[in-house]
Amino acid sequence: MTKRRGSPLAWGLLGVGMLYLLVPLLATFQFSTQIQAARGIPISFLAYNNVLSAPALAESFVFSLRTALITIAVSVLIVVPTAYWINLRMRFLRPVIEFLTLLPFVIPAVVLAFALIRSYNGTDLTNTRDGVYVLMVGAYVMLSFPYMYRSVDTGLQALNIRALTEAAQSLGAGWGTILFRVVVPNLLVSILNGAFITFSIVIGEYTIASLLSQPGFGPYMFSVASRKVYEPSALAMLSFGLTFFTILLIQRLSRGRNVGTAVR
Amino acid sequence: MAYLDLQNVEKHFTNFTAVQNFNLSVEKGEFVSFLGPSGCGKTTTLRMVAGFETPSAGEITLAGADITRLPANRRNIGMVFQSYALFPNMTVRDNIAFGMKIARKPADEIRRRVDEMLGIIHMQEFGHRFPHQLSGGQQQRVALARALAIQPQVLLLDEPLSALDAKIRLSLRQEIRQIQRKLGITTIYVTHDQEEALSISDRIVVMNKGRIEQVGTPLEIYNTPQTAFVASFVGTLNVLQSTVKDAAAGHVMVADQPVNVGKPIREPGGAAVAVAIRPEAFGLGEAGNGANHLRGTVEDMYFLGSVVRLRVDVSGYTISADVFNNQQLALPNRGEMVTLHFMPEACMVLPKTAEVTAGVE
Repeated sequence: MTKRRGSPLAWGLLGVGMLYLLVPLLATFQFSTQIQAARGIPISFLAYNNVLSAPALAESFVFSLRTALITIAVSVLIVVPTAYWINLRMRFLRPVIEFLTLLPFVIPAVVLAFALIRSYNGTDLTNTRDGVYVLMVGAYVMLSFPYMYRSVDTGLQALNIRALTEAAQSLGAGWGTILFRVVVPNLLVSILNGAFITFSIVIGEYTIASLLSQPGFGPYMFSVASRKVYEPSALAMLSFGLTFFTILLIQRLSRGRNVGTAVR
Repeated sequence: MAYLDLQNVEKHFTNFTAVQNFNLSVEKGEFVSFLGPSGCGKTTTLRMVAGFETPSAGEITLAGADITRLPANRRNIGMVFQSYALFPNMTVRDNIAFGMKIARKPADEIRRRVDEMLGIIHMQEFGHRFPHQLSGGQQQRVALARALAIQPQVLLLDEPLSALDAKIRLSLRQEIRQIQRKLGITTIYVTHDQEEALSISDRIVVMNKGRIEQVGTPLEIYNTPQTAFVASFVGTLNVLQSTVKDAAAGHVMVADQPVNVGKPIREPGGAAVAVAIRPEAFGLGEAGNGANHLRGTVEDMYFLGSVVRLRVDVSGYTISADVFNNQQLALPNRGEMVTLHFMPEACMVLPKTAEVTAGVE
């Protein structure tokens, strides 16, 4: 990269882009503070107060938080050994898996939810409360698969995984030791990346949660939006802030750990 | 039975044979090199000893026990890789301690042994560094210490110096040999570098196309190669196409100049054979005692310090001749006619059909 400042045109385009992103955000924020404007108070955070004091918010948020953590755990347990094994022994399968990771982008969430409901109709997965929850987590694991797999796969590419595995084997390590003492620690950043993206998907997910009648944060936001005027904007700002914070966390963690994972 | 025994070991992959008919006995404490071009099966053989590949046929025994099908992590064999393969998430100390931690050795024993290993590789002050903070040569020394820390029955080195630059390569090679001698550890060393193999080994196994060409001490491999491949792969060789004049007496003609190879030739009179001579077998000027002489024109000279390499055109063949440097050495000029002498015993007669690839440097 040269130290050039960039042409005025580039800066102009960047400015237009930023305006396109920031204006609606600022407008939403401005609107969320108007709840008492009619009473002569130009800026008020009452809407935020209302949102945060509603017990349903905390309930739905905790519900989605728990779901997100379970999804991440399941996803990591499935994806890490799979990606490791494919990179180690079944590299010919990589194109196939890469194609599969595209499917969640191609198949709409509505189709996924209905397909799951129809396929498992009449079984415990649709007839019991816990079953439906499992079904939802299953759907989320599928949604998280592309992000988790690609992130872990990239991490594995950066390591000389075959030589590391063989070095560990020659020192007496079995598969469990190799996976948990060599592979996972060196993939921590990749796993965290995948985990945070999964987290932000699951927290705000609406379609699947609502079709399976689950009290998630997404459906809650939607119900608030259909009943109130100012509170949805406040909720949107809070949700945005949370996502932003998550992304910030990802960057922080990956920057801090990058040095430790650099491999020649 | 020897300490490490490979009997009729073969390895077939789906569409090619990597190793066939491999027989080798390695004595305890011996340093054996596998030497050959890439794809000759040397690494595959090493990987079968390490347990990363299973032989298609044959048997491998170590200290009397059959290890042919034993998983790699139960063999107690130390391995050093070309790519170092240090664990990036662990410090130097943790890397060295890894094998002992798996073996559940007591903490103070591990600490003592790690200190000892750091001393052996002269890296005491680097214990708390991470691999990415070390140079390539340092990383490879740590990898060596890590492999030795578990007190393996055999140490395997797979082209350990290939990724390093020339100077480090030379010093680390000597260090590896010193450590090996000190610990008396049985070692197999894979390399494609003949100089490396010649300088470091007790015995060399020269391989080509999945087969052993010759097993012998460095001196035997260099001075009495038994196949055309060994002759051409190890060291520099002048190959002169010639015609048999008198098979029984060992007389051939190199173009129009007679050469005595000192022993009867299997091919009949009139047949074409190749006569191979090492560059250092030549001397400048005339010599008595039944020496051969070839006359030619000096094309070029390279001053290499202790030796001077002459390139001499002899009847259309370019011959490399190494002359030792000394105070009295009078070098000819370029384009000057010179006489080269060499003893009949220095000639190796190779069948014409033999594929001689690495002729002149």
